[in-house]
Amino acid sequence: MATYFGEVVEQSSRAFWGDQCDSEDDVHSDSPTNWRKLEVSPSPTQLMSSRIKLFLVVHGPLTEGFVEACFLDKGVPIAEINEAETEGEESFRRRKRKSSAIYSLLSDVLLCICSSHLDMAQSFDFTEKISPWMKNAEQVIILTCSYISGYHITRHQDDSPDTFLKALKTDNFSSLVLSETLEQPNTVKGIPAGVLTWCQIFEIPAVLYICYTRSYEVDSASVKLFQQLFSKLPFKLLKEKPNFTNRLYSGPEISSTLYM
Amino acid sequence: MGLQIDTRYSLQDIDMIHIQENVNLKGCTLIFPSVSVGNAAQLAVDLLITKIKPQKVGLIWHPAIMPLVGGDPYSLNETALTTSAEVFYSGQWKLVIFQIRSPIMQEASQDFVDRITEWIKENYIDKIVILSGIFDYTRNDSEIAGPSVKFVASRTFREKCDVLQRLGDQTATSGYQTCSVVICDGSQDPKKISMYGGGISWKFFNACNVGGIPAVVLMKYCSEGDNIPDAILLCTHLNTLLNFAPSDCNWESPPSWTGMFGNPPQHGLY
Repeated sequence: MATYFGEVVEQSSRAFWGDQCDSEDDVHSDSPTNWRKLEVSPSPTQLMSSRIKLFLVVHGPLTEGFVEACFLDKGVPIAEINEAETEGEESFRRRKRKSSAIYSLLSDVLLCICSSHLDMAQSFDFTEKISPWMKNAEQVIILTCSYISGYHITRHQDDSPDTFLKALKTDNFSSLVLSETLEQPNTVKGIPAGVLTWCQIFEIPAVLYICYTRSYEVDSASVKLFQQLFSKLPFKLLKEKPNFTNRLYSGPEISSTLYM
Repeated sequence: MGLQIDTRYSLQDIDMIHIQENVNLKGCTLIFPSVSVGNAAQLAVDLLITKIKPQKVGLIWHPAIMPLVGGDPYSLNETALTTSAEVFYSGQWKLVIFQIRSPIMQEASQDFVDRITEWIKENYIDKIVILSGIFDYTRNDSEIAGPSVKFVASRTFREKCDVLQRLGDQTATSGYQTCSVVICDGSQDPKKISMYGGGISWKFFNACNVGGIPAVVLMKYCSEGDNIPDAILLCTHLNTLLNFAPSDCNWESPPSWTGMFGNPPQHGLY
């Protein structure tokens, strides 16, 4: 496979997941999985307000940083999604992993922030866990981010912007899409893809916005596109003065795209 | 008034294959690409869909398939959403085609296979062709000298398919092999038929055999790399089996294949 200087070429997915590469050396379906099931707390059966106008799903460090800095105070979560604990696992209890959580931003707007610790393999489970809320939503908006080095182009482009937004939507999403469509051969994987796929299947109008950027450092420049996006939506979710002092991602947590 | 919501779910209660158009699949042949070496099977299905232009009729939702979304891979102008596993239908050729764009997780693959075989029976699908790549290096000495394409068919499939019978006889009469044909029945030791690198090919084939569904695995020996020629060969042999295009047709690649081997170089390098 050809590679180009400075370009990060992700490992090809090909046929295999982990070391089990063939049904002849099969892992039996009842063998322990490498990832844990998820559970919702405090209780699986909850009361929810009447139909909501917007269910917002946020995935990725830049988008989470944008929400923390620019959105209205989200308060305490109305639900948390954690990995299920297996009895007797002391090491699991000691390991602190950030929860995913659902917040009520407005009376008719819910926000779901996905934990950065979730594995891509947990995408189906996570999507099913939040699906009861999505079923009651008039629309779903998914925000995610990716390094610009992962963006595929088919011909050379001069003066490419450092940060730009692309969108994918379900077939029944009729509201205005506020950025260009994500072109082939670019794709989105994991939880954002799971949520959009679920919405496509169950015909919930949904749009996914992906921000391609050179760095996940959260500042006024990096989140500008998201701010512009939300200023055009009929939901008043933005603070008048964003607060970038509570920096979620900085320093060594921001990985370079030059070295694997 | 509050709404009761329940976040618990049972996998068995979740529909896996969502057909969103009113189609009758009775009597159709199912084409299933196993996620395997070189993605040869998936590339072959891309060529097939670009050639016969079937209608997209459904989506698949199962924990075995990693979610993935993107734009329309078969058109530069359309804005339709594509997901990781989709179902296509051609009434003209009586074909149901699955396309799978992401890895199959082994831990959930048995349930995935069981539910597809159940769905095949519920919809009275006639037979199934599993496309697969398998590792080139697993060929033994006699196989290395032979053809790189192999059919492994159940007896029930061979009874339905005269072409397969002729392909098997061809090797005996002409001495020139374009493919090899192996007939496998349910009692045969599965270890005797190697599909190493074929993903869930054997698992699915075996499940069809056990379930009484006529099935054949059409496999291509290959390695990782530029697998477009492997995909073309798979399509050519699939066409020999099912006869949906002229034998000398050109297989066009879809727009999504552009940039398969990375971005174009920066002009500033030169």
